[in-house]
Amino acid sequence: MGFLKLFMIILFLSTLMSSSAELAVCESTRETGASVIESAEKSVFSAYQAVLEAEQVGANVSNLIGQLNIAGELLAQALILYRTGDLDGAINLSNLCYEMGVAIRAEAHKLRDVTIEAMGQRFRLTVLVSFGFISSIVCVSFFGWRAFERRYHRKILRMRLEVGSNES
Amino acid sequence: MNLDDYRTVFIIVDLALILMAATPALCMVVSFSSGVEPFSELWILGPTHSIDYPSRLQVDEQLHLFVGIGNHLGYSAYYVIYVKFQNQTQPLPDAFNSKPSPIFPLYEFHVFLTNEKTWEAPLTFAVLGASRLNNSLVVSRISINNMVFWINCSSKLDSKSNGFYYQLVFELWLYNPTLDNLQYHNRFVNLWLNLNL
Repeated sequence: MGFLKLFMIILFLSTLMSSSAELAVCESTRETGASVIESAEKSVFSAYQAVLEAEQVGANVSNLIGQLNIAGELLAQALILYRTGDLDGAINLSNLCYEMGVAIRAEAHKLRDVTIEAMGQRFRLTVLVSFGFISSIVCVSFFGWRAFERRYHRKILRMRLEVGSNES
Repeated sequence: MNLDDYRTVFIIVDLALILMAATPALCMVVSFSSGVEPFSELWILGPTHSIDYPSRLQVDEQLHLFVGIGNHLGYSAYYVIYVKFQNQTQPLPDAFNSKPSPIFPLYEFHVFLTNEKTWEAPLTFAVLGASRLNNSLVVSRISINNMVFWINCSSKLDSKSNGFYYQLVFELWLYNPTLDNLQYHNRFVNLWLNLNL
């Protein structure tokens, strides 16, 4: 009888310990999940900011927006899975999303730098061409005006005074 | 016309030509605003892709909707749509104070949209589990796009229409680069559902 009692107590304690250990593991997985999702979220935010910077300098970001949409879908699915309790699925998708965010950010920075360089070159060329046109306009106008002035004076000098008779 | 008049005409024509020649370079430095007020659109459409929404819903019956966004902000925007399920007494978003509904979202869409572009996605909603307790109905399980959510949302019997009313709320949030966070964009749409067992 004493042995059975002891056995029951040990069984009860071991069940209690294993369930509390399971709970602790579950809580720790939940915390890991939340932290991984947060990292993925930050990565997407940062990637979007980089894309926005590239867009502001005039880059064509439609391809990057397409990639961001895939990352956004992964993030949304991770958050939904986390809510439904599928922590492993949420962590896997968050990791994928994080990596995508980092890659998009790097690509956006590269695109921004390339665009700034190209825009600078285009601006310099445009200013040069505009300056050339303006100089030509000023020169043509100056010489044109001089010629016109001379012609005008010659025309005035050639004019003869005529006295009109008062015929009645 | 005397010589001074001709000089004035020459100067005006010259200035006009100089301005025309400088326009391409000026356009690269000076930006002109379009003068249009920036805004975003949010919509839901019924199963036939029209504004014909079903209002009565049975448990286990699938409700097909379309949810869409339009970006007219002048730049590529990052939108999030939160889908919330609530009863008739839980508060809707506060449009005057720009506050979202306090209910926790169940489903969400993260959408990146370039300027002047629209986005639309299908959404399938179903109530999978509900039980009636006297004059109230408790919804315990719903499904959105095949994802199952365990909830506890009760609604009292509306004596006038003899139905239990719930709402499906779609809130639009926008990422704010200055705050480095998502912010409620003060736009929402809600669909009233009369639930029957």
